[in-house]
Amino acid sequence: MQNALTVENVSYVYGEGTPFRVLALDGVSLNIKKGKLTGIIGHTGSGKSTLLQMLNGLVKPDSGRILVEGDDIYADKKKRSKACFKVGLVFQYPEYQLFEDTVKKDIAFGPKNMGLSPEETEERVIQAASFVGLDGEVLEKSPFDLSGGQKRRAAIAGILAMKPDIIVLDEPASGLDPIGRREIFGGLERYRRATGTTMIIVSHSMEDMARYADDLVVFENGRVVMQGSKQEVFSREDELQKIGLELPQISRLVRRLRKMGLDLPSDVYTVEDAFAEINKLCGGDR
Amino acid sequence: MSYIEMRNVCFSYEDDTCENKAVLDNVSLNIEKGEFVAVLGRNGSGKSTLAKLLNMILTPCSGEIIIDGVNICEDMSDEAMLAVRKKIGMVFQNPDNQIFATIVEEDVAFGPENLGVESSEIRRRVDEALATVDMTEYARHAPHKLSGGQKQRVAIAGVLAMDGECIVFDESTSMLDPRGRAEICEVMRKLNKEKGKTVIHITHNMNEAEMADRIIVIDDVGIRLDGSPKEVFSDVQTLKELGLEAPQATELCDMLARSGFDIGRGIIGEENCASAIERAVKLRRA
Amino acid sequence: MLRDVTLGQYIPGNTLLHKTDPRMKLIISILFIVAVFLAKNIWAMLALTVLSFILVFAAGLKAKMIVKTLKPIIFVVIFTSVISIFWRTGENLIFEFWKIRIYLEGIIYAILIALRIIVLVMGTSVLLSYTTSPIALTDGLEQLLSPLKKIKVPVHDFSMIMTIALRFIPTLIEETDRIMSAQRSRGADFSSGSLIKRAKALVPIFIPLFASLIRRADELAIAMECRCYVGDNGRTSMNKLKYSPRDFAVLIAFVGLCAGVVLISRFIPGPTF
Repeated sequence: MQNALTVENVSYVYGEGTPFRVLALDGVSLNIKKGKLTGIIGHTGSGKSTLLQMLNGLVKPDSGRILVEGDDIYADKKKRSKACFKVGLVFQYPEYQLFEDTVKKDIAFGPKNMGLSPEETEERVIQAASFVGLDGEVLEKSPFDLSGGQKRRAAIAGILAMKPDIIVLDEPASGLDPIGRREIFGGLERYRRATGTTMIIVSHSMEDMARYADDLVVFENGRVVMQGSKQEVFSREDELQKIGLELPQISRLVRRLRKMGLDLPSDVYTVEDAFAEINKLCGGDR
Repeated sequence: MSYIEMRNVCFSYEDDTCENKAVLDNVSLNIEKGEFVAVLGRNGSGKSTLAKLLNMILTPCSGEIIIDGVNICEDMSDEAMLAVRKKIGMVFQNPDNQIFATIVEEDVAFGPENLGVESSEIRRRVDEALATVDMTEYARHAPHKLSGGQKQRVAIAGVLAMDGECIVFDESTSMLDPRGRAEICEVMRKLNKEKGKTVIHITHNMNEAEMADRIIVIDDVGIRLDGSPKEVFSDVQTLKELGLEAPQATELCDMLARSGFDIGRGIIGEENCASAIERAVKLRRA
Repeated sequence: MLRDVTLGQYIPGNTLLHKTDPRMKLIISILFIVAVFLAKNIWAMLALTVLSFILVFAAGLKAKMIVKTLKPIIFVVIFTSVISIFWRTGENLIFEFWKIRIYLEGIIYAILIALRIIVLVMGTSVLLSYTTSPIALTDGLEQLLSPLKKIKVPVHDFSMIMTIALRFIPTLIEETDRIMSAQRSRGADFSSGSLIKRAKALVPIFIPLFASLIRRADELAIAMECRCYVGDNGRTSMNKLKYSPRDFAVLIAFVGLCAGVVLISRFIPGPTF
């Protein structure tokens, strides 16, 4: 399968020459498969945020290369300044960057900066907003009058409207309640199915990763310690636990049941799957 | 008489008479001294408002709030207010917006300083509070260099130093990573079990609510569920209607029960769920 | 990046100057400033120069700190000196070309001015910023000015404002950095185009920044209220500042030195201002 994005042996140091020197990234290499949703997990301060800002041209690595579709985005100034249109980055708590007087105008900010025509911009804004479930009069409201979840979705739509090849999201659902989370992830899923866009999502929630991700990358102290399909990474439960990451409760439960002698598959990540498997187990006997 | 009693409390941000847009409408609630209560609800369901009513940051438009035998709606003097705030401490969501001093121990000392406690006693309390949250070694550090979990522990120490009886955690874990969450939950458990503090934990994380003695679920109408985790989680359907989710293991048990498996209701904890499912599966196969 | 900026110049240490009470350091600084302005001739000025070097080494600072301190003011020093050379007239003409006349007095004046600025900056930096943490300084200032409370000057409020400002500056720098990066991710360009275009490009930064400031201020105010803050009423302090005999020794030594400077300035003849 083709790679949408390749990170080649990237390192980065903060505060070189001061007593606060931190090696944020240490020889990181990654392959992100085209059209897949790759989840990045790891604790705060493990270097994830720095890496994300490298992917769209914000932070130049001290060494190593970032290739988007095989093209080094730091090769020259022009490529670097255009990288943000190829790789869309949604920061954590993106609602704090809304600034226009209407939601519509705010979503249009990115497309406008790309130099698109007003008609094209308008079309993209409406489309992006509908993916995240915003339409009608909400678009004419001030972003400051929306609910927390709506603000978040408006901010995400601002990146979707740029139609980047790859969309990177840092903790898109943090601080939201279960319904808010589902609205965000649901919108992203719809968008991905409709456009086939490659996505990279950083999340602390193993439940969300288990449900939505295809591939997983695990960070620890500025290094990639695991990468592979969700099944591969989740099969290394003990290693995950050592760095303080727990499998979703449902997977742990199923593993416990397997140990107790129930013949269930090891790769169960959602409640619905677990339910279906248990029914299958019983149904087969009846 | 309970430690905290709310009787028919109404509150609105819009007007003083609560005729329209009441956030809390006729809420009544008792909390005993030494209880560990989790308050669950969607974003915007009035959980935080409830908390802010308890220590006179907000005043209800009607109803009574009685703390430790004193009706706090009757006496609005500064002395009465300080007496209540001393008893009921608050830890908020954003760790960055509740620490204001440039050195950790200075911040912890803030409460007792405001209460006019004598210097040597403040020193003793600050040292003890920092030891309780395991932050002694950071006493002289600058808060902005700490991790989210550490900042929240400093905020908790600040409340402890006031020597109150009850601590309200207003979504204090929602901005933290799993490691930070675990740290804060451990501190909560310790404060309740070892120091005998009344703990009120406002959250929408079900796994965190599970460790409380009692769960109160509210929505914009008022209190919808109130009982032990076992009782509350046995009503998975109502939780779903309220936009909340039971822990995954509990949800699976509930799905199995509803599809005819012989399995009890309100099973909580991974281990209990596993053995219940095993038993039910064996019964079904037999 | 913005977050590389280090704030506050405090350099932790354990020297006599570090241990001196911040209030005393404030008093000494005032004395020092007065002495600098009373030093009218070259000998007094040199004495003060020596004194400020002694301060630097007494604070355990390395020689390169002197360079670092003076770097930002080098332009001011050169500018004022050059102006003085041409401005000042006198009796000993040493150079004349067309309309430009340079007198010996002018050169001496320039040297004195340059030394005065250098000494002033070095002395106060060592006393107030390198050896005193910002919080100690605000504490010191509050307690030193506390008599003014009697005439209703809100000394406590000013000091609280300063403390909060100091605490939030790093947070706000980080926040600005984040907002700028986020808007850049949406293709915003802050560094090219005409002046008006650039000024307009700042709107997407300032609006979110203000919104965030207001939100933070609001949350912080509530958090402070919850911790029983009602202003200065009956507040106590964990670290009550207390003068120790050492502080007075430092003060006496300093008064002596400054008096010496004034005496030199008065009674030893030399080129003057």
